Amino acid sequence: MSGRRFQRSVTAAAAGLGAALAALALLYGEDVPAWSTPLLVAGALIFFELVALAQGTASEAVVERPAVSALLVGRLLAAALLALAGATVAQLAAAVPTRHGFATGLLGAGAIVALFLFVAAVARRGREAGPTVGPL
Amino acid sequence: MTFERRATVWFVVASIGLLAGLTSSQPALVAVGAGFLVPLLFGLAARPPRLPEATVRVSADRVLEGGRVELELTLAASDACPWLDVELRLPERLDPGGAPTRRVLALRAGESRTLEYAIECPRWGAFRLAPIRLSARDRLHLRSVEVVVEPAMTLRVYPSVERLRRLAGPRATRPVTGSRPAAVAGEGIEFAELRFLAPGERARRVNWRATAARDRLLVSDRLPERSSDVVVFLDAFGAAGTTAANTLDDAVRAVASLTEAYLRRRDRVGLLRFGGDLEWIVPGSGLRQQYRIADALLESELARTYRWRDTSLIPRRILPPQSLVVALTPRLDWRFTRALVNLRRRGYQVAIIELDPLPYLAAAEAAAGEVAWRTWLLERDSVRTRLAASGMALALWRPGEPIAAAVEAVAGAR
Repeated sequence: MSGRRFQRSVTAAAAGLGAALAALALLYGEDVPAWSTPLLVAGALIFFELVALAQGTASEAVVERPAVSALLVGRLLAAALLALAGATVAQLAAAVPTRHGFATGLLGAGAIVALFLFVAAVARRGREAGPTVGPL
Repeated sequence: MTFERRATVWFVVASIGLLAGLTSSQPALVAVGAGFLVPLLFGLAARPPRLPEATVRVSADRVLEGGRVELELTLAASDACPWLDVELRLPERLDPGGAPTRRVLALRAGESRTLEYAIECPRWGAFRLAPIRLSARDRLHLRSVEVVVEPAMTLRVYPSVERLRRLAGPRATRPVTGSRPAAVAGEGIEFAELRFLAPGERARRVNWRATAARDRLLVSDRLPERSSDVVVFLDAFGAAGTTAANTLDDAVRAVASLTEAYLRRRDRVGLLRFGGDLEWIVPGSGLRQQYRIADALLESELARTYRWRDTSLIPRRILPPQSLVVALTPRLDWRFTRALVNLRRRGYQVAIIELDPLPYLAAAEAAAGEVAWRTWLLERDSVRTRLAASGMALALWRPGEPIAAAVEAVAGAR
């Protein structure tokens, strides 16, 4: 399909999803049930991805269907499922009853720092990974 | 390899969510942070994007104006490439023929794909064909790798040639066999005159029919075919028009047509390009000379310069004595006009084909105003009259008209 048609489709999908999320926010406000948080997180992630896609695709380009399919499955669906899984695990972990105090605060801060260092290490390993440019 | 801006955004959102959630004891905020953190970690840990092997093949490296060239780009992927952006960056004067020059495709591991482009060549010139930008992203589009493959070949688009039947010929010829009747009588095909038989001449030259009528031995003298020297003088100082169409384009096509016509008559043809610096090709003959001049024409571009070299510095072998100088100029720069006058004063035969710049100067006319425009036109007419009065044949060639008309006018004026 043409890049312009692809842009319009993505923009329409982003607008529809954004309107739905906004409507939910207006309807429920702060009374959002806890079980819907992972779904909303996944929905927000998909919305931001659609907006980025609409801005980042050149209108003069021709986007082939296999690329569109890979995009839907990889960038949108896989990312949304991972977000859903991560948010669900976090939600479940937060539901575990415990006493909060100074120690848990230190533990949480330490976990955050460890996570940041882990992300930086993974990113650095990805940048230094083997040849990324095939012979030309 | 570079990280997309989205990766940074995800990291920031995840950090804010986690920190805010821990600070305010809000599990929902922690869930938001984790929701963006998990796909980020997955994307960064996954296999980085890898560009496929790319090979380019072009159907021809030389083509005439208006021709077409086929370009094939073969991509061989060793790893899966879910998002591959391929952009063919054509030079400005080449036309992709309505086909898209940018495509986004997906390649499986081990897949080979060939993209074909049909490139139209509407204008002469030498072009580097063609830079190709390849950009690949990983599965989650968090990392990208990009490379621009620079062209390895030059496409030469030669100007179209118009067949000319009648040409302006120099008054003097060279003592070398050619296709042009010489000014002096001798052995040849074309009849020159009858004269009385001179002692020592061969009897087979006697014109018996004329002898019977005059009762004296008469001989038919003929004009031997000789070649001449012609130098085409191209004005590269300035041109009127746009990059799509201008007087320099017309001049180059005219030079190609004149060169082909004179070389076909076995004359020696040289090229002299004057645009600040003097560039030349020594007069020669044959097909090799035609290609030499055609290749030199492809490098004709406008010379925006304020310095120039005097035409008296031109070596003698470039401008042989008694050669015909055919000049192609829009007469926009006084330096070229002055060079023509100098050549005429040095005794050369000069013929001028003036490329009419007025159709390209509508915007300049509107900006200059009526009085200034009319004054400029009057000055041009005055200079044209003086050039013609100095013994130079001059013809006006308007865009869209065949060059043969202007060449016929010059040939008839001499």
